[in-house]
Amino acid sequence: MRALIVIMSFFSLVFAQGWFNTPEQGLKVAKERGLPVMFYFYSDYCPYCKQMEDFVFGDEKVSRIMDRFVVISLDFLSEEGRYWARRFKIYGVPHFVFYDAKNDRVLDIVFGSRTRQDFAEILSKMCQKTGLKRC
Amino acid sequence: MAIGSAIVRVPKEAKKGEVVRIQMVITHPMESGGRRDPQTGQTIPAYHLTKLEIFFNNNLLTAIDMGGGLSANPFVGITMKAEQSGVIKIVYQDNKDGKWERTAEVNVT
Amino acid sequence: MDRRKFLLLSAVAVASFTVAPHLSFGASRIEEDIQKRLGVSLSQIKESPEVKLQAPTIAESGANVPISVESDIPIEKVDSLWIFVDNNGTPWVTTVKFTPMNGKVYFATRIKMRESSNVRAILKLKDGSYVMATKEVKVTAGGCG
Repeated sequence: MRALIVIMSFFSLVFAQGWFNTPEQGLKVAKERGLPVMFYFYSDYCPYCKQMEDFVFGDEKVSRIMDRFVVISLDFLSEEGRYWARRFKIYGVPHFVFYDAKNDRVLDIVFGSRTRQDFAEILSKMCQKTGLKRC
Repeated sequence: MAIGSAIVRVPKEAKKGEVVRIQMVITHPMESGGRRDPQTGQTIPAYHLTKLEIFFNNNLLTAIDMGGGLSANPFVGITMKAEQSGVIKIVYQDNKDGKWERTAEVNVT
Repeated sequence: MDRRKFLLLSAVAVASFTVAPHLSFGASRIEEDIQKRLGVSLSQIKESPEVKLQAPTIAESGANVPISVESDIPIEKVDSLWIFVDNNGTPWVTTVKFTPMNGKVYFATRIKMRESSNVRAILKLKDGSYVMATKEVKVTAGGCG
């Protein structure tokens, strides 16, 4: 019975397509499928992250463009998050790292919240920068 | 803190006829229904308080309708003209099955 | 009229029939929401210095904007307070129904704002009229260290 509950709670954590918590897996999928990558560093204590998640990620136009990306979201305070934050020299949240998985290089790093319009433009620009067919 | 718990702040003592402030903070995520969960990317369904009623000695003092437009862990401040000692009771519910009550006493001299 | 002109005119007529229902002739989301919830048009509600709306001119984050509303209009004359944020997906935020026991018109809370916008505090009076205070609040970009 207990095993059943454990299994069920594992599968209740349903992910949106293209959304990962483990960089290795996300980067692998991005490389295989020719997708642009965006790392999203966040924290539960930061209202600017809530702002982005509620009003920007939730926006229809932003969603459409963002769904072209592999999104690797990392809790800034988690072990995995802190490791990757150090790698990219990330000092706060919300932080967005746009990454070229094929050539293993950072395209751009953006810090702080943005309006829906601004973020949609940033995403479009970053997507185009990769030169991928997806964009 | 558990969802639905609340802190109600009233002055312990008040002079008769004085207009006092009553403040409360209720623990609740107040999800509007549009936010994408940072961990999974999924849209979090609406989950927020819908109604808050404040009573004094069982008489309705103020009734508030609300939705996802109020910030998480909503803060509410109102005033009351203190005429007699008694009990402030707040009764609130959300859009699921949550329904809670909290009380605080006021001593009027 | 030659055939070409006739076809062009018919096409324009059909197009305007299909497009017109979607054009609410300039009614914005805030105007529609106020009309829906208050039953009056925004243009009928007058700004009044009697309604004092306090909100930051520049808000740190749209997740948490503190506001307060006060008025010296006697509480016995006031029915309710309605808060709207023009540029939110749903402009209506909250409705507060007062009673004379409140002693005075006062309400404080924290609201969410999607982006820079007007915040409106509308008092519905018992005589059926409305008075309002509007404040423009800028929501800026920010982050946490």
